[in-house]
Amino acid sequence: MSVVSSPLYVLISGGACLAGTMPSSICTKRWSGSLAGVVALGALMVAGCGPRADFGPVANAKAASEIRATFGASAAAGDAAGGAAASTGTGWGTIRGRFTYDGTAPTMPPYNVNKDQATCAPGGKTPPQEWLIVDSGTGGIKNVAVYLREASRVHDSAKPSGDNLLYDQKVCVFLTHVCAVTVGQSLDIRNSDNVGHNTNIAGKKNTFNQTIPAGATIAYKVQKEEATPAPVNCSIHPWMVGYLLPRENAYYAVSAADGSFEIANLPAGEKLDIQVWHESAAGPGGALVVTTPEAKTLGWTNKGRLTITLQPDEVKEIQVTVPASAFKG
Amino acid sequence: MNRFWSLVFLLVPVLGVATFVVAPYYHHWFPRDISEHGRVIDQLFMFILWLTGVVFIATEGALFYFMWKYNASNNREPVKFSHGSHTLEVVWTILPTVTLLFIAIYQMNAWADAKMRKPDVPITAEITGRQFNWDVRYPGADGELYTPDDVFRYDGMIHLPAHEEVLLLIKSSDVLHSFFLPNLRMKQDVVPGMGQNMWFKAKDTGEFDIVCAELCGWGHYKMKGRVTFESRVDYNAWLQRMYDEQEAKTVAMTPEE
Amino acid sequence: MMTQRFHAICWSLLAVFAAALAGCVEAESEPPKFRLNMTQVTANQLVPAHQQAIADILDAMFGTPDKPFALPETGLDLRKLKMAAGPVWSDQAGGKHGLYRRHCAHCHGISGAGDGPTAMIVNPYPRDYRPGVYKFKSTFNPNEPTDEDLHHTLMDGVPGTAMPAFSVLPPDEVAALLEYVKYLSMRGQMESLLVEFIVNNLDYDPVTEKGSPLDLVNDPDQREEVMALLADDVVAKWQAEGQVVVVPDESAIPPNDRNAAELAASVKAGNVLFYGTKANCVKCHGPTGLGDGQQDDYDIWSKADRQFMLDTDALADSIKTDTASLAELDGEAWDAANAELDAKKRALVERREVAAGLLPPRNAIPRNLRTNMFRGGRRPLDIYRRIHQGIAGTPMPAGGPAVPGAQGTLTEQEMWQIVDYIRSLPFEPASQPQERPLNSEAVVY
Repeated sequence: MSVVSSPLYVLISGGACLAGTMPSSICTKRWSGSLAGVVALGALMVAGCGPRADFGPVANAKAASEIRATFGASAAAGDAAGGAAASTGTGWGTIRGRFTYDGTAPTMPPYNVNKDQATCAPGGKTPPQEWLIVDSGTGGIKNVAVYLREASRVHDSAKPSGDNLLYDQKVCVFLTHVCAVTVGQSLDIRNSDNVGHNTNIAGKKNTFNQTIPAGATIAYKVQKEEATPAPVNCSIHPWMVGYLLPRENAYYAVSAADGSFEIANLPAGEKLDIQVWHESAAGPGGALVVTTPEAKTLGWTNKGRLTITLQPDEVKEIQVTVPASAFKG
Repeated sequence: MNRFWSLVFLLVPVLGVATFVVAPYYHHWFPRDISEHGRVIDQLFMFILWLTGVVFIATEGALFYFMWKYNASNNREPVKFSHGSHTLEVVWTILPTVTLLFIAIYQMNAWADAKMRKPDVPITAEITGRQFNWDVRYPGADGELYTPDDVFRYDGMIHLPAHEEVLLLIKSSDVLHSFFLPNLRMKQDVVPGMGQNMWFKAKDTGEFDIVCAELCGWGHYKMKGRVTFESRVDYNAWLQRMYDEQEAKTVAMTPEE
Repeated sequence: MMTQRFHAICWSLLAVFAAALAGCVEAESEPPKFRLNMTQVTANQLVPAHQQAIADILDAMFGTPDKPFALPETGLDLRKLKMAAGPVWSDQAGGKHGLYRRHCAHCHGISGAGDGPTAMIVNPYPRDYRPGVYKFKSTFNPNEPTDEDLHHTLMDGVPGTAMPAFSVLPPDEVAALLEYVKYLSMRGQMESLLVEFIVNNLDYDPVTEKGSPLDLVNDPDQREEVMALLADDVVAKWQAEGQVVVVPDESAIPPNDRNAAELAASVKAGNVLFYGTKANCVKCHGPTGLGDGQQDDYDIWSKADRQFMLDTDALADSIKTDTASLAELDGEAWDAANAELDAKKRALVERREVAAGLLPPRNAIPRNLRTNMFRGGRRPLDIYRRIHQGIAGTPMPAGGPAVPGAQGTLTEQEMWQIVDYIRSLPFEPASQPQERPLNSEAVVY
């Protein structure tokens, strides 16, 4: 405020001096100030025109025209390469492991419940938030999603399931905070509260936003695979948050309260590209990036991915200690 | 050369008059008048134009004459100052006063017709200016505004009946606007929180311009529309059609656009 | 002495204005360029080389604001795009050029990001076309709008917002603008897909700023994948086959000749639904219907920017914590931690620069249902569709099935009952007088 007003004031008083409406004794004292004010105002104006924000790069016309020239040639050139990763190995292997938190477990503040207290904070007890749940005893990190990015072959046990998956909400909390589901599997979205909810799934490929009446169950089938879990919200109770990960196959796991996870029957004998995700991870799009030496041996990338090759019937153990700096805030 | 400046100043009346004489030939004159009262407004305009025109030419002529005659290079004698003439002061005070009074009284009837003698007819449409559109609400079949059968139009294409007295209620939902119908010689400022009336009788059918004549913000130039005058029968049919469209419950009734 | 001062002041003022003008003129004399969605690019930590590659590919696919281009597979009409694009001018025959910049760009921005110079001063903000999400449409919630839907918005404007009607424009100009809006949406969607493509398929290191290249010229596989994205995930969505229109079930549509008692019964049933836990309208639109219920949620356009700002604040906080904990370290551990801290600081500067160009996020305020103003159209059909599919991009949820044939929350009949109730709300005694009395009559303010 003062930055803007002082040059303005000086300019006005300077103008008044010029017009002869102010006593000259005041004017002489203010002259040096007026000049400074004029200069300051000018500087502000120049700053106002100049770019302050970063608007990113602009296209290079030459590079663009070269790219455009190749568009017609697509069909002829592309046939040689196969689409998905070619199946090379045989047999099946398993990955299991545990995520532990390096540091003191953060305490989760209660959800900001500002309505429907009787239902959402029964007896004045507001449920805690869930953005980083660390087991106080074992240090295990809950709700880390681990999933295979591309599968060359899929074991029968990991084929999309025909069973309905329950997606429940109670005390205005999504009971499965991070929920993985196979494409085409029917999700039974249930409201176990006595107030109405709406479930708003805002994925890149799947969007769904429907009211779920008190006590009712609405079936929903996800349509497409998502690369990272989609946020799930309730617009009526905006503190409610969950994540839904639709995948083409069931090669996924969400870590349990003690931080442990297991993905069984992965294709063996070939490179497996595995994504590790956590909602509060600092990496791009929630990728859990671990830079400790033990993680480096797993080939952990800055996009939260690791490459593993399993021998048939091998059970690979992965123990990951995640430093606090891998998370936001 | 030594009379250069007086000649330059002579250009002012010459070009000024020429502009007015030539303008109609380039269609820079009044748009077609389709209102009953417009003739009076135009006559008033022409009367005042002639009156001020004559005074303008006379004044400019006098100015030129004095500049020409008392050019510095031809007049070596010292300037003589007169210290006022009572008679002259009286003359040039009374003459404009009488003229202005005459205009004021002469136009009074036109003013009253346009702004004070509101016709005793129901409101034809409510027009609301919003940045930057004219929204219209017509009373439906019951002829009354603010009932469930009102017809709403937001496309800036206003329809009104011709050959009959039309009473508009004009409002603003945000800032000052001015509802201007050039072909009806009608212009009304709108003030937020106030309702203004405008009434007129169109003599002809057809489509004409609507513009906003009050700078109402950065999108002022977008506030244009069209008004269509049609016979009462056509107007009623159009209103019914709009009502039916507004009541559409099925896809089949959606107008194909 | 006074004159000397006067001259000094005049000269300094003149110099200042000249400098200011030079700054402005220089900034504006260049032709406008399409810009990347920097929130998206920065949140995904793309390296500069990849940002440049996205800009170049988009230019190759869609051209520039002055010289638009459309690949035949997009189905876009290049003739129309050319009419809408480019600088504003009129030819001798009176033909108008640069229609988008003439009518739309000052709000919707050159890139269609809803960030034009006047965007800040309108409420609601102008639509950001880039995600391809439009609120008022006839299709199912996740589907793109049909041409008719966009045409309707152009012809009628959006009542209650700063979006005016463009019905006075000749039909070919409206058609050109419509095509251009679709073009900007496709371009924006393609941009998001390219960002996703890089994040999912390419390696890069935001610290060293190195990455495996996105090079469509020399890598035919990449080219093919990108072209497949364009065809399947962008173009297909804008074609009629990909768009499912919500059609009310004929048997449940209330007849036009209902008597007063039947209508009142339907309104009453709608009222019960409005306040009940099944439809739950009351939670957001409020017990009064004034839109004064749940008001602290955001629409998707504001949400993305808001999340970016929150993450930026979180990063600033973590820099503080890290700086404090740095004192406890020494030797190699200190070096490693310090390098990480430097990287975070650089990221923060970058994020702050991007955040400086964003509009302040605004809450999505539920509609006041008593003002008789319906932004997406007032036909029963329009209101039915809002209830059936919710409003895409906003917190407003659907009452009907998410896809044709799926399980809906409300029955067709219940939805029509809510329609009747909503339409009766502005005429309830509590909503009266709808308009304030005229100043020429007894005025009680």
